[in-house]
Amino acid sequence: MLKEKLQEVKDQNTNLYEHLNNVLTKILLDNPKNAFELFEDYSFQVKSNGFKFEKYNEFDNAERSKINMDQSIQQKTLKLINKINLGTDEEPQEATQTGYLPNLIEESYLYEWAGIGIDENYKIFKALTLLSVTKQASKLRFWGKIMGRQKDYYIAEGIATSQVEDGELPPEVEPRGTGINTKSYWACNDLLNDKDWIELPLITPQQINTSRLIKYMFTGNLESDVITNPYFFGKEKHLLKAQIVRITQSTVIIPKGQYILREGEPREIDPTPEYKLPGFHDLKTLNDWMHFNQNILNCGRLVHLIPSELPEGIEPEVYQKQIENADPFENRLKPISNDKNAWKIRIVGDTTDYNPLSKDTNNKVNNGVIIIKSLVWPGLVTVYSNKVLSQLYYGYGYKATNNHFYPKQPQQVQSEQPDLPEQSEPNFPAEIPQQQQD
Amino acid sequence: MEIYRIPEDLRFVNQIGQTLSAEEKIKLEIALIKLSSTQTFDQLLFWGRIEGTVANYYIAIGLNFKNNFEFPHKTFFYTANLKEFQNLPPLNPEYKEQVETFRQLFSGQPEKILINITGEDGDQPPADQPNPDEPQPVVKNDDDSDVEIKPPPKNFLEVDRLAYVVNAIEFECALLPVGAVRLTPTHELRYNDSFEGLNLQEASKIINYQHFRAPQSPNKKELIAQDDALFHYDFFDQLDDHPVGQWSLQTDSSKYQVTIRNLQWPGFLGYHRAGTRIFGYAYFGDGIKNVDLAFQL
Repeated sequence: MLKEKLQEVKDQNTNLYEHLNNVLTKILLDNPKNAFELFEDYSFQVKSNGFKFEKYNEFDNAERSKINMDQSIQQKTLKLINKINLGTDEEPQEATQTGYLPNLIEESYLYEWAGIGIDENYKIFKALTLLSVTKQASKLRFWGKIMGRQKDYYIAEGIATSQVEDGELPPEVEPRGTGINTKSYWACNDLLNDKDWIELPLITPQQINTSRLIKYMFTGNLESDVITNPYFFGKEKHLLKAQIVRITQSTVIIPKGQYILREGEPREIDPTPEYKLPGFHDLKTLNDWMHFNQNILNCGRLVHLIPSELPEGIEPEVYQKQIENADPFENRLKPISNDKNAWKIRIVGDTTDYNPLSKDTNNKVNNGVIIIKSLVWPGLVTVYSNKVLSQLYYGYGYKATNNHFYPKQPQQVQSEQPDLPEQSEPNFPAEIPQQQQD
Repeated sequence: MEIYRIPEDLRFVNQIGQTLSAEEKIKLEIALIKLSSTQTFDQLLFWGRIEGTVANYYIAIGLNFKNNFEFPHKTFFYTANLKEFQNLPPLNPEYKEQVETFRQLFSGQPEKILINITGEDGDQPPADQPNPDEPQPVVKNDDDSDVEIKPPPKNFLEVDRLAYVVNAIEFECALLPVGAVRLTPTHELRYNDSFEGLNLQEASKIINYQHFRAPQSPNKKELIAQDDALFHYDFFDQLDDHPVGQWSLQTDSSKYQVTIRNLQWPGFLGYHRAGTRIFGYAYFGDGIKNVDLAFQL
């Protein structure tokens, strides 16, 4: 009689008796430890899933996460990981040669000691190899990752050897291959899409100077407008290149003594002849490292622009000296210990000295890792271990600031001058053109 | 971040370029096991790492679900040398505004003095403040039963700033996928055993994630107090949008592993692997809030 009573309590598809049956069967099947707490949950789940106790054989408890990957993503991932094929599937064409590309996988291991994790490092490495082949880029390396609001950028640095015509450039822009436009940079949002590597354009000194005044978080879309005050003339790709160049010019460091100033031209540097990389113990302080690149001048270039038309009465050399004194060069190869509060150096890893395999016991092997992080551009990391020196940037692309950032107010828009009161033109009768007289 | 899953979950943290080195992982695991043996929690999570100039802070959080109405009790622990976790000191609301103006990096020395109250090296403390060396005046009540002693003013140490920052990040950022937790009939919070993970489409929508804190907005407070809150999963606050665009939801190239990053606290990320029960959050950064965000967007 209880059964009929329960069967009377009905809903659209089922009645209370059946529902209780279903719930209890599911609980017996699952056998959870805290069935009492989960009882309401089971009831809710059974109602939403429509579990029926007669069909209990068809349900299984094995916790299987359904792994579905989009077909196109699967194909693209495999294409990236497999051997590079420049042709089609029917006629495979191997890549002939690639330029220099440091082994990102080995370097990832060093970066792990620094607390920097490179996600998907093998995919990045293969994507860079592909870039090197397709764009004929030499001296390629993974520069880093700049995080953005909607998407991130993976950045590669290198020298593009394919000839690109830039057309007429305004005089203050340093042409490709010189000054701030020496190296080329490629940005990519999606590693799986090999067409996605886009070379960042040449930038003007004006863009560098504007980028020094604004603080912007990238969106992830190279073509988006940058709305700031002072107004940045250019799209996000210009600002991205400007920030990358600023970071590189001020933070690349090398062990002291690896380069020397050229005689007679103190702004140029040459590799030191017969230089041997110092051992681990000689690189442990900030004093042992120096800047490699030249600082960007206040005018936004690396070399002053001497205008072709000189003012009268001044000789060219004197004029050049005047310009240089107004915007002086900084000394090259300065030790980084001079930069106040700008660097943080740590030693991690196993720092015991091991004897090498050869009999030369003077050169001990030390697997310690020296990490130098920049405090001015947070996210810039240099690692050194066992004669491997590498550098990476993983950040948002702006400087660390101590003060709050207040953008400059736009200039006040002046109100229009009130119109002068209008007066009708004086038309003297004598000036009225004479009517044609018959 | 679940303790036994730290190496695997670091994969998500790699998306913002952070990780724990081999040495850190080993020492952290030992310190966490030591902590969980001395104190009993329902769950112990690794919260994250704050980088300092000399050393780093590693933070753990202990959660107690049972016997806590509506929201678990959170206890924070920190360590700078990865040897032993210590309790984070309680918040002192007096210094709140001052702490928010600190923009320099943490140093990694917990005992470093940031705001000096008592004066050092023989400086005389101001006359109106009680001298900390002398015995404090004891105020007796009339019935002589309660004795009130005024505590000596303490310096504001770096570890106090750490407590502020950790609590602020936890309050503003900690998040969960909707459906991951549920209420029992006695209104205690538990993890939802039948949570199968958000599917691929749901996982990339930020509306399917909610804060992991006691609800603050009035409609959520009402929702959680109702009796049928058991059957709803979205009883926590939605992720705020002030300033607009402070959350950035991104996936890796497989589109499967979702990270939700906060741009006001760069270094914070919540993560979820679509279709599985893997979710969590962590902070790997320098502990400085990005207050200029409103100007950067």
